[in-house]
Amino acid sequence: MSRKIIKNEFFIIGLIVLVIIFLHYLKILSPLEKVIYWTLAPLQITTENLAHSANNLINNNLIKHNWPEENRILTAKVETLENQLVGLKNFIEENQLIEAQKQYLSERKLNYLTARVLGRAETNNANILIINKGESDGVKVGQAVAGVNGALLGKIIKTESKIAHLWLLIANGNRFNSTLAGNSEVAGLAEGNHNTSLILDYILKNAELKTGDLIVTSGADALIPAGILIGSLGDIIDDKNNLFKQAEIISPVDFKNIKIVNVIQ
Amino acid sequence: MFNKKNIFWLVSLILIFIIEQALILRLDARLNFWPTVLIFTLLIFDLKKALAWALGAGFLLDLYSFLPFGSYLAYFFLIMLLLYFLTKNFLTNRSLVSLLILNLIACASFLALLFITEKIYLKFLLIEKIALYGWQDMLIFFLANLILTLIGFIITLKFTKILEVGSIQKR
Repeated sequence: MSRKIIKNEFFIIGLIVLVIIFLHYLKILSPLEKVIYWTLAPLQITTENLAHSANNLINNNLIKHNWPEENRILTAKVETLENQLVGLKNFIEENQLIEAQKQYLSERKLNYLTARVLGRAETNNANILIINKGESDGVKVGQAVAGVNGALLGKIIKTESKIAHLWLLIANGNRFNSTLAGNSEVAGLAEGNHNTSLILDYILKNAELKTGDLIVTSGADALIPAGILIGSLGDIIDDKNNLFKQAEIISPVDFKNIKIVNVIQ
Repeated sequence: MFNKKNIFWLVSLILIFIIEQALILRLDARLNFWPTVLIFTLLIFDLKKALAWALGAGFLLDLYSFLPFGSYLAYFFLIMLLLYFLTKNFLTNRSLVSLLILNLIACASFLALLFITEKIYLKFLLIEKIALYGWQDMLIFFLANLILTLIGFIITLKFTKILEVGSIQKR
């Protein structure tokens, strides 16, 4: 009985199917697959051109013209093309953003990984973004993420194999050790304020700072390098009843409109 | 190894794959003739070669498909298993009616498998709607396959001896 099963064609082919699937996911079949792609490509291109010509032939000659209907279709096409134009403009804008970020980070000699924002996390707190790079790309929890011109956006709080969650700088409870650019003796804690803005807290009373000074990361946080721009100082609050000074930080980032980010590694 | 039959097997596999995937489906996605093609491979080749043909076609389709690798291999294997079971036990006479019924069953199985894959995809992988047809598209898919079966039946009957009684008994 068992011999009969083993000799059965369906048993053998079924086994082969399983082995092929297994080998594919182990990447053992990839050389063979590459050869198939390479061999079939010219045939596919030729057939694709043929299909394109056949399509044109059918559309131009065999189908009777219905002018009002064609007018309606062309009007719809114009609308679609206008939408595509908007899409292309967005694409160009995104490319310019990427170039600007790359230039900044290259000048700073920082290793970075460019990622695209996929959306916001499903939590009520909308200050968590989902990006399209994850553990398999080397993204780790705690890494800093920069945006326009290298300014800090936030840090990674959770990773999956192909995605990661970015906690924005302005979120309540998100804190970064910071210093004044060019003067590391003036230090404080940059933190999110009501999920909308940033403040620099725990500044010593004797620290000398003024509106417009630049605030950068201090390097005291693990995985976050020193010198990443957080923003410039706004109003400074020096309350006599308080042990420390506080200051508003104005970030160059538009936190509502983030498309491309760089994970600093 | 490279006798006439084997070369015909290989050439038919590559040609049908290219014509179906890059030409016919490019013209209209509803003209998916794979169920009919599988029925005729079972008629033309012996069981081993027909199964190997289905395996080859499934592998090629999986390489270019957006479905998870192995989907088409599994579809074709299951459809061949079903077709073989039916041709051996119920629809044994290779008449036009038998072929048309086989075709309907193969098409329905193919759509059912696609439907299940889509459901799994949506549930576990969060990928948007993929290949499912509407009612009208399904009707066109079934009709197109039935018409191809009819044409295939006439051609096979006219130019080969595959469907003749003696040939069936030998097989």
